[in-house]
Amino acid sequence: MPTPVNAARQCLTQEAAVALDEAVAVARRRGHAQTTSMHMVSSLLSLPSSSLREACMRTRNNAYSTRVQFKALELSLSVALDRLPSSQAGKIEQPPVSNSLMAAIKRSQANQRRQPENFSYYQQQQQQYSSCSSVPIVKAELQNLILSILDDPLVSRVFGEAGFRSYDIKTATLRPGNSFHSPHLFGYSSRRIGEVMMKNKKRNPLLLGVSYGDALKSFLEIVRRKIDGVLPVGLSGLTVICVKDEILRFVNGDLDQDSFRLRLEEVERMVENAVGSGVVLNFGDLKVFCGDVVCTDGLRYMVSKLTGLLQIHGGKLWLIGAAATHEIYFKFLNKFPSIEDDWDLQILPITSLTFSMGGSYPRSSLMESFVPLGGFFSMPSDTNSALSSSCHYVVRCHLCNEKCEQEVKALSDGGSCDSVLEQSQSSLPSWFQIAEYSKQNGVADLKAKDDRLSLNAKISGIQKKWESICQHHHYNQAFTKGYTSQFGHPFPRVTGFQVTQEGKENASKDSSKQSNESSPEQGSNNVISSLSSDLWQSPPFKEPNTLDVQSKTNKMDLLSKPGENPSNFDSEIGGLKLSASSAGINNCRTPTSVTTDLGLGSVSACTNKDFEKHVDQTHMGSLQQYKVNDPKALYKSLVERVGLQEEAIYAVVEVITQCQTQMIGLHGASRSDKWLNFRGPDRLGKRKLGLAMAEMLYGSTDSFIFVDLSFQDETTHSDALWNLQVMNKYNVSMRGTVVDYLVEKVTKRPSVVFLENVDKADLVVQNSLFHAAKTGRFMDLSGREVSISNCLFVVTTRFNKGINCFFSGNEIVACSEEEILLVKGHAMQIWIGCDLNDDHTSEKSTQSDPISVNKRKLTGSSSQGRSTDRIGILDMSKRAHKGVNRYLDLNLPADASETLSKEETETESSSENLKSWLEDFEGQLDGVVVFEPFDFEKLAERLIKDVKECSNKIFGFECSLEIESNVMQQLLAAAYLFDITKVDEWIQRVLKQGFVKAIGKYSIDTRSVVKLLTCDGDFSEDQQAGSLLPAGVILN
Amino acid sequence: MGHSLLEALNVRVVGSGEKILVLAHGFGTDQSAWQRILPFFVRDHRVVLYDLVCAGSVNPDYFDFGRYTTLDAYVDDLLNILDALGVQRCTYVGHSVSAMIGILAAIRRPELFIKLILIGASPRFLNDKDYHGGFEQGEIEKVFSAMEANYEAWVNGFAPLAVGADVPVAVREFSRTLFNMRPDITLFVSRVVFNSDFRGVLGLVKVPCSIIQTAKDMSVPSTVAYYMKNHLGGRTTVHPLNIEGHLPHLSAPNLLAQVLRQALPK
Repeated sequence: MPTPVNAARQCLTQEAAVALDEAVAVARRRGHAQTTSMHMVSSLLSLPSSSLREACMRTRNNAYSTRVQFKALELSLSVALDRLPSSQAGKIEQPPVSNSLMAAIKRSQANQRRQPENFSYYQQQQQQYSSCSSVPIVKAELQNLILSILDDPLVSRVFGEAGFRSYDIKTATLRPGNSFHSPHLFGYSSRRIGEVMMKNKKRNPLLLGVSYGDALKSFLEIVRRKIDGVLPVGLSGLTVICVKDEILRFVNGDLDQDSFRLRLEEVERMVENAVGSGVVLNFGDLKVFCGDVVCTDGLRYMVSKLTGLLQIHGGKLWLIGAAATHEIYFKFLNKFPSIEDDWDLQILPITSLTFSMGGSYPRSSLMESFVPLGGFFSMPSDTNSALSSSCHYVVRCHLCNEKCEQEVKALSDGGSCDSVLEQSQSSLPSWFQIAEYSKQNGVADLKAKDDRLSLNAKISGIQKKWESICQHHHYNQAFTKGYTSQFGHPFPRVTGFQVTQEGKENASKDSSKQSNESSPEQGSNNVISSLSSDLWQSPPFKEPNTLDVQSKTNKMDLLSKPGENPSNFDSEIGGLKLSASSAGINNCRTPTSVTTDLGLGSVSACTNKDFEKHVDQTHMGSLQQYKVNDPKALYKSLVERVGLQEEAIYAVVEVITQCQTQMIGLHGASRSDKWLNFRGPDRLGKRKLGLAMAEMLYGSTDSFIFVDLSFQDETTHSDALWNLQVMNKYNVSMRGTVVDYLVEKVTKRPSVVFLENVDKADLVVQNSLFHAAKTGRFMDLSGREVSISNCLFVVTTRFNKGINCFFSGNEIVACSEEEILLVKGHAMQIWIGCDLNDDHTSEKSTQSDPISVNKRKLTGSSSQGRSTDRIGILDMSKRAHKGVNRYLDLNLPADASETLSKEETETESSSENLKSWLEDFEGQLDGVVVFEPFDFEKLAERLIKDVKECSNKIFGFECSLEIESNVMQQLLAAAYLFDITKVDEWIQRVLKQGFVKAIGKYSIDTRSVVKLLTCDGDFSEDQQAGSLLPAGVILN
Repeated sequence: MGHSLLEALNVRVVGSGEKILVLAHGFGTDQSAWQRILPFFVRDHRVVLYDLVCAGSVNPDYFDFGRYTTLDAYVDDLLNILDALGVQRCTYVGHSVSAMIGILAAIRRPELFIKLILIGASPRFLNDKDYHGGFEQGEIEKVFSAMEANYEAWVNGFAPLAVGADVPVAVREFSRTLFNMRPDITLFVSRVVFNSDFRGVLGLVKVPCSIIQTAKDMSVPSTVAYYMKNHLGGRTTVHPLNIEGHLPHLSAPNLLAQVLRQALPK
């Protein structure tokens, strides 16, 4: 005889009743006569936070994926449900509960009653109910209900078919931490709370975190419901007393002190009489102690009372409380600085919010497939609300079932619609929508569906974008360009070369190997079966003006010009670089670029000697240019361009010609790459020389690749100027590493590779440079190797072996290059004063310049005394010649000098490693060229002379002329950066005009003091780009 | 525990030097994400690498759905590894979820950490009253359902957005590791991550921190970096990176390495 639903509900806790209601709904929808265990299982699985489903998930057989197993479960369940007899009387509103299900409910009730830990609870309940007439019933809890239902042989069989064993599921259901909803999370935090409480010191947990509420609640629930296995054994039989309301009322003044004391005494009695391990006193959120309305006395009283309780009953009493943020706790701590000790608190960070598996994977997977089957797992549309208010959920399921089903249908329609959409877009399917979600802060998917046209447009837009990305990051371009420029290089002798079949096979073998190496993890199938075919397919080759490389390599059969220096051919073997790119492999996959290095140099076994020679010549062409020329001519033209550092230039030319003529490169005959170290100061001179070499040796400054390996911030004038001159410059914000950049560049064309501050390079760069210098092959970070033949590598270091230390501020440098390079363009003025002292060359005048004295002070304080060590000879008043040393006005921004010194200490700390690396590295180089410091003193003398001459000429006599050091630095910088002739020109044009004006305005005699000053902070706006000299001088 | 854990989570120690540097990868990657960063540090550091239990490179059977419901379990793993290796002091570099793991670990065992370097870290992804985490609950649910519906498609869509689409190599690499994760684990972990809220506990961190934040990170608005700086309890600096993307170690390793070098304790 089936039981009416209402009667059955009486026997269940609310949670279990919800499950039953859901089962009834399933039965009704299916038109079944009775609600059976099978419906119950269906309902239990579809509950928002189904502990049954969760238990299944944990027991699942590792041999299958969860998805598969749940799919199977869903199938076997639906088959079982289909077998059930349907009601003859049509749809029954509430199909009564079948005997088997009712039996299961009764079993669970009995089971619950038998559980010893529940015994007292039911007795207590009985007492509570004694006033009422109704007989107390044990209400079956959901967990027990699940266990009983799993005993049902029918149910057991259904699970068995899906590969679940009832026994396992039962164990999993019973497993600690899983016995009530959303158990996982709080099992964990509760365990940690328990661990804290078991400690000897700091045993009272204070939960800290925005999400403390759930953790605290679940801990208290575990204690209250005496759930075993979560907390340590030593904490069994805990009792919870919550005094947070009393405390709240007390500190707010709603509760008088006596009642509060009474309550605490009550607590004390309970502690004394506690049977288990003790009592946990929950004092709640610290927030209430920090509010504005808090009565401080009450608070103090409360805190001291609790402290006292703890002292007396330390072993059996625990405090527990919480705070949302550290700031709140901090406030509390400020009020009671010793509270951490008094209350023996241990802070426990809580960082997770309510987390239920309800909305997670398994249910959804069930949903997904159940929807097409007719949706017999009813779907709560909003997981969250269902979780928090299950009653509401029940009501909706009963009354709004139709609506609910409609929603389901809409959802499923939507789903299929989506999938249709997916199918229609071959390469970029549904992820696009997701992408849009996250990008545009959630465009409703419905809208996306409605708007298919725009979606398509967007998709094609993305495809286009990808295409362009592919091309952009593709080495095809580099390859093409590189080849056009190499082959198209206007060297009359170089006409081409022949590639033998053998060579080609080599190439394809190499390339396939390389591609495997370069992308082993992608496992992409871009192994190039045949080089030529790939070259054919590479998109850039479709461009009409591109070289048809394949035909070139096959058909170009042109001979080298006879009469070349044969020794060159014997010794210098270049490498033929082929970079082949495989075209798009898959729709979404970017083509992987592969550069193949034919490595002809190493394939010396190659029988075709002529072939090698041809290749040599092809690549040697550019280098031969200067070789043919007279080294003296090269020297001369380099000196002409650089202007200074004649000795260094001479050494450079010597090294180059030596390698050329004697063919005794350190690396043996097969190498055509050159390595030089420019050591010492004069950064600008080194740069100029490097650039000049690119122009002279390679024909264009395009062949100059520049990297400053120290990656300093570039803010100075000289940097800006330099950047204008350099075409190929790596900067740190580029994607990819320096090494990748260099590899890409040197494959394009032979170049001067100028690596500044090689001693500051990071380890990776150092290693690959060392490798390259040693082997003549540059390897990028993905293992791709390219030949660097015909490249000229210039590395620079400030390190000077002779002195054997880095140049630092301690050294007496007359005027450091760094300072000069930092100079900015200020406006200038002429100041005319009168020197009342007859002897205007006396020592007094050393301090007669108030402005520079002032400025010196400023500088001294702003650069933290560092500048004071530096003795300048740059006071360019006439007295400077008398050897009166003065501190320089460095005009440095304070932070700039700080970073300088920081860097220096950093460098020094790791200089040990560096030195050894540098020594090893230099051992691999063809030559080290030492640069002398730029002679600023000499330059300054000359400039002073020029200015003086100019003034004398205008004034017609010799008057006292003072040039402020700032002005001098500016002049020096201009001379250093550009040319002295430019400064001379400026003196003759601008300064002269200023002097002329001064004569017109003031009467100047031999006693006059003429000063040349900068206008502080007033940058001359009208200066031309790159100029450090103002277009006019202000007369003051 | 120790040995099997080291094995299960593929713990590697490379390089030489006295200083110990822990590189902890974030969500959707594994330790291979550090591949291009690693060479910069192996000369001067012993670098500890490991995989989070949710990484695709770890046997999914080790992923206990009952255990890894909060990041605390991940912290246990980290601390167990460091203890098993006998690490006394280390500098910790954590990306995304590992940044948060590092924060928790430093709260629990401050003496273990010299410094935390946090890349793409966020204490809370969801928006709140006075807090802009970058996501609304609704959006996240949509992402989750997309993840469930078609994982591969989701990966292919998510990866370029996360990386910043202009670095195909990095996108490919991130897609690979992301796709290596078992979908249910990915989903589970994302839920755990999105359910985490670290805002209340930041003040408990006393270890100095460096926050590395890219100019445009789809997961972490740049205001979050400054929120963290203002709330973290120790001395904290922010290093803005002028690039896009959530995974600078994949997309701009060179730049990141330079910044890391700056951020490392001297």
